[in-house]
Amino acid sequence: MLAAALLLGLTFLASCYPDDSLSISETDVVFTNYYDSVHDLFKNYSLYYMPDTVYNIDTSKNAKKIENQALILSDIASNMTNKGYTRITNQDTTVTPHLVLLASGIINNNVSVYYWYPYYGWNWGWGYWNDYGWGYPGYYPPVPYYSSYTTGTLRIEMFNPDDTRVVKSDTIHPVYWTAGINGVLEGSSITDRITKGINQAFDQSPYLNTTAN
Amino acid sequence: MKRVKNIFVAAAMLFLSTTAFAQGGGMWNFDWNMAFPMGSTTDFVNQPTLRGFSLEGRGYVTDQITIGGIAGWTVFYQNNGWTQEPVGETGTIHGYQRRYLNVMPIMVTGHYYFSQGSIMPYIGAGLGTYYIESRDFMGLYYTQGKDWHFGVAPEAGLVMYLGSSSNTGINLNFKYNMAAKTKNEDAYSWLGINIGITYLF
Repeated sequence: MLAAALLLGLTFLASCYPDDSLSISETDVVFTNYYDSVHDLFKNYSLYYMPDTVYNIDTSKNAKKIENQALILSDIASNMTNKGYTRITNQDTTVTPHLVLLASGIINNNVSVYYWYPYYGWNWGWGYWNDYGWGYPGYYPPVPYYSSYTTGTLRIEMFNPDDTRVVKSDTIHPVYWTAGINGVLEGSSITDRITKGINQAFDQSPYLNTTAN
Repeated sequence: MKRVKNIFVAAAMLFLSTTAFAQGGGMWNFDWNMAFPMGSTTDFVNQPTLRGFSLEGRGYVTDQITIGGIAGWTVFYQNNGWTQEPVGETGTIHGYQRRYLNVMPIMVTGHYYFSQGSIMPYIGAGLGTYYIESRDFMGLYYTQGKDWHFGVAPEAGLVMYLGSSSNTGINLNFKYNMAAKTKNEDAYSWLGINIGITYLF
């Protein structure tokens, strides 16, 4: 009888985490954050520059290539247009951008702890933006999330090229706005998910809106 | 160290309950636990759960009083679907949200029976610990909290034996579960409705 009762009990429970099967698109997560002291400044800017590349954060030999770059960049650009911002290219030598947008991606392999908030530290930089690096205001705590799946993350970061700080003898740009769009660099229906993810990142950031035109 | 202490407390409770049984007779209860979140717990999950089970031993120390121990497992689950919520002061996260609470009570219990016979209404209480693990999933990612909570669980119920000479019956009770706040984790509370089989020995 004891065994029967225990079996009955275990059948009821079945699992610590029941009903945890998701479709691929249900695994997509979008995270955005901004530098709080510039919250009211986004409306004062109108021109932005965005390079024609989605940079791969993983620079190792075995890094997986970031696909669909043209789609990613055009989706970001159309959202910026909808918010009222104007894109300039590096051919526009007569004007300087108020904001710079950078898109980057990484395919994570079996991470067990993943920091949603970009956590590169102050000295982190890719070194292609002339002599500048850029960084994150140090008081943003990273938010750890746990997972053990292979996923991809698309990042969009925005900073003001005129706003520089010297931290530990490095000149950096504080990041004004960041979006992490997780899950959209791998898997099925990828183009649809990229567009949805990028649109969501801008939709959930209503403070990105210019009145400077 | 804290974990070791809790395991020690749990072991002491089980020992206590076994000693109680030695005084002469008692009962085993195998109960199915239904649970309804209450208070601030409803901010995390507000859906009732049918996923719960407990095993309880009670030993008579007088004709009307038993002392015993209980261990169980209840899983709360709620699927919030696509959700957008703030993270800190300036962040926003959007994803497919599911929330879970895995609750494991280990308690010493005491009960008072208003009458003896084939129907025995009783009141009682459990005192001990709840191990509670909470997970808040967004897509494949989750934040997790886990801790041993101090717990109190007053209850009222009845045991009905199936015939006057039977040693098997039904146990039904209503139990208010209170898991105290810990240093890192919130307090939790829920109403349990428990029904199961009683075996008198």
